[in-house]
This record gives sequence, structure tokens and C-alpha cells, in this order.
Amino acid sequence: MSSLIEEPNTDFHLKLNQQSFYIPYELLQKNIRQVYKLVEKETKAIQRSYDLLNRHFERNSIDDDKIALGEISDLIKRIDKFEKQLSIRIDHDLELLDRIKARLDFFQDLDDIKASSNKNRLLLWYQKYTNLLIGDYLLRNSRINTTELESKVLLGENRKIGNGKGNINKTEMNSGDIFLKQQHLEQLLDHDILITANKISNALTQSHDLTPLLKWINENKIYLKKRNSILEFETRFQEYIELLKQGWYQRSISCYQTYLLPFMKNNFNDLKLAAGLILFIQYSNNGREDTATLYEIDDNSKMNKPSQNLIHSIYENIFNKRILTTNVNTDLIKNNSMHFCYGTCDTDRYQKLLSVSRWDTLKKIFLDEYYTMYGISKNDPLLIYLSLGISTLKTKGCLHESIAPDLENGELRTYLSEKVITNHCPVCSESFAKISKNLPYAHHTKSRLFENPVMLPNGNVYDAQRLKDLAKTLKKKELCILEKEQIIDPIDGKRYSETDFVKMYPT
Amino acid sequence: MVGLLPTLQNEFQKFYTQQESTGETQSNLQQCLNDTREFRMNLRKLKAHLNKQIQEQEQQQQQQQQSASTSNINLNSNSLIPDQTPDHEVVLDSKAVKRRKLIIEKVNKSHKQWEYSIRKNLKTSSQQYNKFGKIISNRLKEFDIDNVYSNKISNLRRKDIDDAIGYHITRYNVGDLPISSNGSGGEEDILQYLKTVYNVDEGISKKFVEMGTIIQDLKREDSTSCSRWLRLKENDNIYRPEFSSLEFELYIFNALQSIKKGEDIQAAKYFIQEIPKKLVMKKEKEIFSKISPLLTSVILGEKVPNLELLINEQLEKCISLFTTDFCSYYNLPIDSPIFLITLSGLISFQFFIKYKSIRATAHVDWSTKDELPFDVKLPEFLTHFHPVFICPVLKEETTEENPPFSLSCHHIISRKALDRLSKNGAVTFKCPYCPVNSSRAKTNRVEFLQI
Ligand SMILES: [Zn+2]
Ligand SMILES: [Zn+2]
Repeated sequence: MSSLIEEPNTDFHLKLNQQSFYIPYELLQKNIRQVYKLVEKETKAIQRSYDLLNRHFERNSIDDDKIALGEISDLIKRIDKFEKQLSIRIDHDLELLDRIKARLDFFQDLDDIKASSNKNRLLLWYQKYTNLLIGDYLLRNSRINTTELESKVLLGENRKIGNGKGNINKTEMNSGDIFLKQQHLEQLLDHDILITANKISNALTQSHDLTPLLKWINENKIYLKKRNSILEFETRFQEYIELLKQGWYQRSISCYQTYLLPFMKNNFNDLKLAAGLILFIQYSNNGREDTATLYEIDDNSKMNKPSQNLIHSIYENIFNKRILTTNVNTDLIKNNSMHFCYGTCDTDRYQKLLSVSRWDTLKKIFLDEYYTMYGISKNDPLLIYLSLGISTLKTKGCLHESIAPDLENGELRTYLSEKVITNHCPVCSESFAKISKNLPYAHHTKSRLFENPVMLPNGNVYDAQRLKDLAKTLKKKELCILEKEQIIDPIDGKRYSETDFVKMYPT
Repeated sequence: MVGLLPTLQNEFQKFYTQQESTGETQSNLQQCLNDTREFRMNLRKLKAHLNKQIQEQEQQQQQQQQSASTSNINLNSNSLIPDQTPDHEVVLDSKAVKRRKLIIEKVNKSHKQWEYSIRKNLKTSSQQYNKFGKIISNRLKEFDIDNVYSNKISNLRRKDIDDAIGYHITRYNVGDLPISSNGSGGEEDILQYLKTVYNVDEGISKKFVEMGTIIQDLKREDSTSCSRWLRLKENDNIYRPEFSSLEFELYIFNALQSIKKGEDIQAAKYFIQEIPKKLVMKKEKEIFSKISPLLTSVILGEKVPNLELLINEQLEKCISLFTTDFCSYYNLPIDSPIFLITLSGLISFQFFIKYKSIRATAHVDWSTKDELPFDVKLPEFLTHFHPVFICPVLKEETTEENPPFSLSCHHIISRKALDRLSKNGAVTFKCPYCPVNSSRAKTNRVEFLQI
């Protein structure tokens, strides 16, 4: 099929959007695995009931038949319950099939429009497509803060957002979700999947909350293990660091022992660093008796000096050896309980562990795992399209501002500046100018000029007809007085005669 | 080879089967549910049968017990009944035995049937999913879109992206927001909504609030604010938009509505009296083709077919013309930059992918670091913003550093080419395109300008 605006064929569009089929397919598979499990469990249980039932029947007595009757009633109840569970799974299955159907229809639309050669409808389709990419971007990056929003006048006055009635639940507060619903595009994106990712990442970077991530890790343990993911370790490491930052030494040590030690084999160096951190924090707090240091909380909840035993036990745990109290360096260690560890590591590494940027790193590790799991692109697709699009559009003439001539006639100047000189090149637009600066230019092999290039005495080359039209318009609008066959150069604001036109031969 | 879309559609259809009884289509998994429901209902029926059977037995038993008191020996000597049989055991007539046997058989049979069926349907589903998955993972998966993203957009520019999105949403959606300027907050409400939900800067949303309000009015089938806007701007001699057919289309929009209200006489009057006078001359053809049939129907009292559809189409047309006029009046781009860039990205995608795979096999690198290594053909409406001049000698695009120069014959070459041909101005040279001799002194720096 030929293209109307140089756009690729439908097959290519489908390949470009492979994920929008792959994700629901993955979800279908997940769901049907659950159905299998459910059916397996139920068929076994029902088989057991039947064995029992038949044993009663075999006895061939009224009493046994009566028991069998009760058994059948239980069986019916059991099947009824199973039906309900199955029904939930099947509704989910149907919902996923509907998504696939909506997407197939969406691309069928494209195919039909291409066949009909209707350029306007094609552009409208691409507007939808753009909205989809924007919706995806918003879903991934939404940062609406519910509590902040609730306090807004907007909601205080009980106005509705979206189609919800009065009450706004949190899932609707993703701006991408709201946008897609307003555009009736929600079937074309797996918003549930992206919203989950967004929620977990927002918890990390905005509220420094690990709970949703830990929950997700727990649900996907097998998957993460198969991929040898570092996510769990990094998350627990972060948990440990946060506990330390807040001065919960006992809890951080138990976190260390429960969750970090199992990673000893693969993450020995990190574990060493983690152990060093507890001492580093204590070292940093040295001399500040009032701040939290390596304290133990005794039964009376009174803060005591850190027990030497505790430090020893950590050391033992970490390095699998005792602190050598009879070592020649004993004095040194005694002077500063940190030195055996601290002396060899530089402060920077500890500072890095404590830095806020670790949350961003953790978010990145999580998103990598999450997106890989569903075959979702790691970069925001919108950004990919924009990067490609800008480079394809960016000419050597971009990002140079043309300045309107300094004319006494203010009205003429404004008119020339706003209506004639400014062009709406998207690359040069306010939002994209800075983004475009660092991206490559398009490659051109052929000149792209205007119909009838003429040079004015000042060296400016214009389309002759455009110059004449401009002169006509300006006269009509009474913005300036021009004589017959006189034109104005909108850049230098000077008048020239059409007889000055020099026809150019650019190629 | 069959295209991907029909292949997918074909496989997708196989997720469903048509019910023989009802003709409805159901997903293969739904069959599992049907099987189970049928199983449950069968069991319930059989349970009732069994219950009845037991009751009948008990009745028989009572009768037999009564007679047994007279002939107890008879019963005990029955050798068919095992020893452990409780003494209230009943001798059933052969019909009842058969019935009971049948019930038990059926109870077992429906179980087997259910299990067989549910497993079969589950397997069918699963197999079909796998088949579909194979197409998606093999034929649809040709590349990874992450791979062409070599020139990353810095995270520091997120704010600019947000602004571009805000602009886009406001430009196209300010008319469909669930919030209107009719409330107590007026236009502030719209600005507030856009700020809260989409984080749109007021500087951007302010530009479109008026437009949004007028579109909302149009959607309520009230075109007065739109007409007022148009009249006001038409008096602006300098900035008024170039003539568009908005006024004419609004006139038809109103006329269609009065037909809908069933006010035939008013509609006829409106048609005749309200037609914008200055349009009569310019739009003679449209008036003839569009209005005449409507007017005829109205006068004859006939129903206009598909009136709702016509009104809706007319509304869309008016909104589209109005937004275009609005943007051009305020000198705003008609299409949002993010839309045009995304579209260019989509068009160029295949080139990037092709290049990526060539580069992977041939180990070639980008030709110039700051220029794409391939040419992408774009439609005119995406490229008309800047002129592009390729120096015919060096085959390079001219830039500010290497600007175009006009020779005395008015052929144009780049400065670098000029320096080379003239040996840095030392010699006169022949134009590469015609026999005219040129010297550098006689050249002119030129600039191509698009207006
Ligand atoms: Zn530009
Ligand atoms: Zn020449």
C-alpha cells in the first residue's frame, strides 16, 4: 500500500507497537496459569469427594445414601465457589482479549484510512497515536500528589475530575489515566501495568518508602531469581541504610543478618561496605554525645553507650573473625573503634551510600526488571520518538532567531515580526529549542527551496511571488505605503523595486 | 505473504468459539465456566432424584417393617444380604434398584464429562494463546525500540517536555475538560484544573482558555460566543485571520439545530434571512449544494435523514475551523510542536532501524557526529519551515559558518567551495555550472529566507 505522507506501512506500525500485543499476551498467560492451578486444585478436591461419595454408594444403605446426599450438597457448594473464582479469572481473560481486540481495531483503522487515501483522517489517526504516546509518558511519570490535590480548591468545592462521582480514588489520580480516559484511549494502553510501576517508583523517589517495592519483590521472587537480579539485595541494602540513618541500630543489624547475609556469596564487597557503614556513622557522630550513635536500647528504654560486645559481634558476623584484642594495633583500634575498617575505605564510598541519589538508582534497577518482565521498552517511547523526530526535522537554519527590522512604524514591525518572519518550526519552538540543541541535524542531499528565488540587492533571497503578495497585503491593511512594483524586505524593512529582483539559479 | 494484521486477526478469532445452541461467540475459557455450571446443575438435579429415591426407600422400608413383624424369619433367611447388613435393610424392588444405579452412574458420568471437558477447553485455550504468542514474539518482534535511542534527551529537560505536553493537551483538549468556566471560579477553574492534573503552566493554558470556553459553548450547541468572537476579530483589520468558512459553517450548524428542534418555519426563516450576506457571492456553489436540499426538506416538511449525525459532523467542522482561526489570529502554531515532531519520529523510525542493523553488520559509524547519516523524506507540511541549500560543489548543506555565495552568473555555491575554486581568491575561475568566469571579488553572500 502506498503511503500518503511518507508514513510506514501497517506491518511496520504493528512491529513498532509489538509491546502493546505482548503485554496483554503475557497477562493472558499469567492468568491462564492461575486458571490451571485453580482447576488442578479443584479437580483433585472434587475427585476426593467423589471417592468418598462412591464408597458410600457402594455400601448400598439408606443411611449411607443419606450421607452421600449431604456429600453431594457440599460438592455443589464447592463447585459454586469454584465457579465464582473461575468467573473472576475469566472476566480478566475477557478484559485482556478486549484490549487486544481494541488494538487490532486501532490498526485496522489505520489500514482502512491508508486504503481510502484520506490525508485528513490519517492526520487525525496520528493525533490519536501521539496522544497515546503522551498518555504512556504521563502514566510512567505522573507525579500527582493526592494529599496536595485534596487540599486544592478544585476538589474542596466538590467538582468532579474524570468520570468519577465525587469521590476520587487514588488510582484515578494518575494524570495519564485521566488523560487516556478523556481521550477514550484507555483500551489501547496497559495502564494497570504502567500505573503499578509508577506507584512503586514514586514511593521510592518521593516518599522514600520501600514497602510497595518489597511487596512486588516478594510476589516475583522466582522471576527475579531466574534473572539473577540484584534488585532484592539493593532494596534490602537500602532498607538497612535507612534504618541506620534513622538511628535504629538494633533493627538495622537484624535487617543485616536476616536479609543481607544471605547474599554473602555474590555481594561480599557490598556487605563489607554495609558493615563498615554502621561504624562510619558512629565515627561521624563521635564527639557528639547527644546524637544517636551505636547505642543499645536496654529494657528501661534508656540509651546506653554502645556496648563493646555489640561492635564485636557485628565484626564477627561480617568478617568471620574476632577482633584481635592482643594485636599490635590494639591501641589504634581502641583509640578509634573505626580504624580497622574505616582506614582502608574512603569516606566517599560511605557518603555515596547515604546519598539521596541511591533512590534514583534503586528506581532504575526496579524499572529495568519490571519493564523487562513485560517486554516494555526501558526508555519512555515518547522520548524516543521525539529524539528521532527532532533530528529528522532539525535543519542548519534551526535555532537562529530572525529579528524583525527596527522600524519606526510599530504596527508594521509587529506585523512583520509576528505574521511574516516567525515560523512555527517545531524544533525552534520554545519547548523544544533547548532539547534540540544537543541533537544531531537531519541529513539532506537535495536543496529544498522555494519556487522562484530572487535576490534583492542586500543579498536576501526570497520567493518572488511571496514578496509581491506581502506587499499587496501590507497595502491592503494600510500598514505601509508602497508604490507600484515596490516591495518590502521583511528582514531589513527596506523597500525595493521589483525591477531589482535578480533571478537566482541555486542548482 | 499475508500481512501481519490479518494474521493476527485470524488467530485472534480462534480465541472464541461460536455456540451451536445460541449462535453467540464465547471465549474458550468461558467454555470452562459453562462446563462447570452444567456440572453443578446436573448434580443438583441428580441430588433431587437421589433424595426422592431415598424417600421412596424409606416409605418402602416402613411398609416392609410392618409386614416384617409378621414374617421376620423370611427376611433373615435372605441369603443375598450380607451378614453385617443392618436389620432395617430393605429389599428393593428391581425397578428401584435400577433407578438408584442409574443415578449413581449419572453422578459419576457428569463428573467425568466435566473433568474431561474443562481440561480439554483449558488446553485449547492455552494452545491458542501459545500460537498467538509465537506470532507476537517471532514475527512481530523484529527490533527493540530502545536500540535506536542513541541521542538521549537529558533528564534535565523534563520540564520542557512537560511544557510541550501541557501545550498539546491544552491546545487540543481544553474544550473537553470536565470542568467549565461557567462555575463560580470562571476561567480560573480551567487554569487550575490544567495545572493540577497536567501541571500545565499558566503561561501556556492562559493562551487557550478563551478558546476552550467557546468550544464548550459550541458543544452545548450554543454558537453565540463563537460568532461574537468572529465578529470582534473581523473588525481587527490587521490581525484578522485570512478568510475561512467558519461563519458559513456556523450558519449551517445553527440551521441544522433549528430543524432538530422541529421549528420548521423558524428554520426556513433562518435559512433565508440569516445567511451571511457577504457569503452569498463567495459561496454560491456550497450554498446551492448544501443548503438547498435542507431548505427543500424543511419547506416540504420532510424529515432530514441522519440529522444527529449531520449536526455532529457540523460541530466537529466548526470546532476545527474555529481552533485554526483562533491559533492563526494569536499567531499560535496550528498543530502542536509535539505532534509534528512525534509524527516525524514515526516516519523516520524505519530509517533509524535499518541504519542500526546495517551498522551492526558492517561496523560503519555515523558519518558526521552531529548529522544523521541518512536522508529521511518527509511530507511538505513538516519541512516548509526552513529553506535548505546544498552546495552543488561540496554536496554539503550551507551553514552560518559556510554560507552560500552567488557568483556573477547567479549560480550559488558555498564559501568553502568558492575558496577552493578561487584558490582563496587568488585566481579567477570558471563557474562549475556555466561557462561564465568569476572572481571572488565579484561574489555576493546570499541568504535564503522563507516567508
Ligand atoms: Zn527550525
Ligand atoms: Zn554559472
